[in-house]
Amino acid sequence: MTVKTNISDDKKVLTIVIEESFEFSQYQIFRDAYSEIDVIGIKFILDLSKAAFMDSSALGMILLLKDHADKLSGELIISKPSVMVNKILEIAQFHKLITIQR
Amino acid sequence: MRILIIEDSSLFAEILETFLISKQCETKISSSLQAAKDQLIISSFEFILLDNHLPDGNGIDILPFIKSLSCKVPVMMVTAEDNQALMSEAFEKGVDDFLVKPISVDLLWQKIQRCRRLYDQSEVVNLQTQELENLLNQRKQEENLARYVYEYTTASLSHNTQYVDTYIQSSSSFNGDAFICNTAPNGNLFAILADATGHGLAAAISILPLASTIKAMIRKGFSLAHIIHEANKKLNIELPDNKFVAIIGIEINFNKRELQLFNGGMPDVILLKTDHSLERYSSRSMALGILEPEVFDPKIVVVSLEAISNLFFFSDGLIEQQNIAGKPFSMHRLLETLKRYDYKESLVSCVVNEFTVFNGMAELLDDLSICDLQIKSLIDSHVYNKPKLIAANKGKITVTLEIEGGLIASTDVVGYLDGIMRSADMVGDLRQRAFTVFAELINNGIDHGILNLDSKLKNDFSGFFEYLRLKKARLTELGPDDKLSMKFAFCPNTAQIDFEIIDSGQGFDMNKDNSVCIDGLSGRGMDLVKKLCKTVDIVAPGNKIIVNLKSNR
Repeated sequence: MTVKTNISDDKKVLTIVIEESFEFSQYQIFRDAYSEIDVIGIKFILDLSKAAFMDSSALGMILLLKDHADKLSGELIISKPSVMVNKILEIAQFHKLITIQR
Repeated sequence: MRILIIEDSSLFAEILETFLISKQCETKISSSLQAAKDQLIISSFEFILLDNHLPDGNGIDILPFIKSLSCKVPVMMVTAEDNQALMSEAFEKGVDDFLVKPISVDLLWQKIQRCRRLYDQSEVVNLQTQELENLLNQRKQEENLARYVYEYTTASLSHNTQYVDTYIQSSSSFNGDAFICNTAPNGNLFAILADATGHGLAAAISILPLASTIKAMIRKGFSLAHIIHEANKKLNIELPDNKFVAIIGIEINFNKRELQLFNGGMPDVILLKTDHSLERYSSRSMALGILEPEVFDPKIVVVSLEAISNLFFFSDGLIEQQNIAGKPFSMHRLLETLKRYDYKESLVSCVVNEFTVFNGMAELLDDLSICDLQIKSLIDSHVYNKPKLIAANKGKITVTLEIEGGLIASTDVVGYLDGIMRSADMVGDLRQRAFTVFAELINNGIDHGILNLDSKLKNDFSGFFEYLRLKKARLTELGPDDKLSMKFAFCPNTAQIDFEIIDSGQGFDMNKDNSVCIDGLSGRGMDLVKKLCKTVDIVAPGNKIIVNLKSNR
């Protein structure tokens, strides 16, 4: 798993790109990508377009990110999951909790 | 008008000058040939009046010099000599007019104007000729470029396929017909003949983008119906209203022993049966590019390949071509030719010979394309050239795997199982689901079975860290009693995977409530596995799980 981040010029949007697989073993790197951010009203975009695989613990990690966004009165958007990853998100009923842009 | 007066009589020169100035002319007077030459070198004039008797020679002798100037200027001789021989010589040397002294200035003025007008007109003609030449050159260059692109594109359209014969002849340097023949990834053979309205460059331009689209779609495995629909949509958008493309599309499915046939606005497709009878398939749809995609409904006919020997089709240029007597080649004549066909030479050359004899030297009115698919030979070659025999019973593959100790922490078991699935030609969806299920079950067996980590730890944020720390620590302490056993079996005929996994852990309390709270941080793994598998059995005391996955197809 590779985690890349990109913050917009106005510091209001943080894009987190997950490459290869999204799984628990790299929890620390994933958490480091956003834990220092404290901008009120921030928008997190979790770009999963390059993630071929996701396991169930990644679902927990997404909820932690969502919790962080909620604390900052911000927003979390999951962007472009692959067919398989989207299926996992659907099984977990994440579309009821988080905006998923296909 | 700038006028040069070459005259040694200063009085006469002055009379001319005064008169010409009154006519808004600008004048210069040269009293000798040399002075005139000097003047002509340094400035340009629109008219020259020339006396013949000058101190340094005859006026007539300066004519070659004047004619050699880059700027063409009319010359009128004004002389006292009424000598026909001189006049004749002067005209030969390029004088434009002649006036004998004493002169009438009004007549002089009329002659000057007339002469000048003739020069102006010829200058305009020269300019126009030059422009026309430039345009012709430019057109030729553009046509060369277009030809290059056209030839490059059309050359790659049709692979030289055995048992597919074609004859294509253009009525001009560009062809508005295109023939595309290619094999799709599933082994089906496509043959498509398109004929754009008109001929020449205008028709070729309508065909080119269509041809590359069709070619690409065949390569990507689209069906005939899909290709025809897409082609109609593209042409409907891209072509002007008065342009369209008639098309014949044929897709041969060798496995099902049938062909699909689309005829939109082309002459009848003709089937030659093995019993020498003919069957005709008329156009049942509009040509492409006319109807909006929403209302366009391509009528595709399915025909069994049994008892067909050849499939013959052509553009209307064949039957509508008129010979010198003004008679068309006609469908009737073509059918007679096909009925007489004796299979001794190729059908295409048989028809082309008949056509050539009929047409004689008459000029081709439209592009002409003829295609013949030798169906019987194509089927035979398909049967005998199969790359490998596909057995009816594909068998089964079983893998048992056992890992113990430290290798549990470092072995990529999921990747290994994925490799097995790939090598057994397993298709997309089942393999992806199986990958997720294996990853969940193996992680589950390691974390909660062997390492005995409590997933409740993951329920709060600090717990996530604690969970990670414990996992790391316990993985380093794995011993020979820690084991993970798996059995994987795949059967292509039923498209099912059986997988079982046993860990050396103590199992868990199967009676406790395992339902997942939607925003809980953990406990989704088994839920996910259940949704992705057909069956999931957890065997007491909870350290053995057996699942079955089935392909959705």
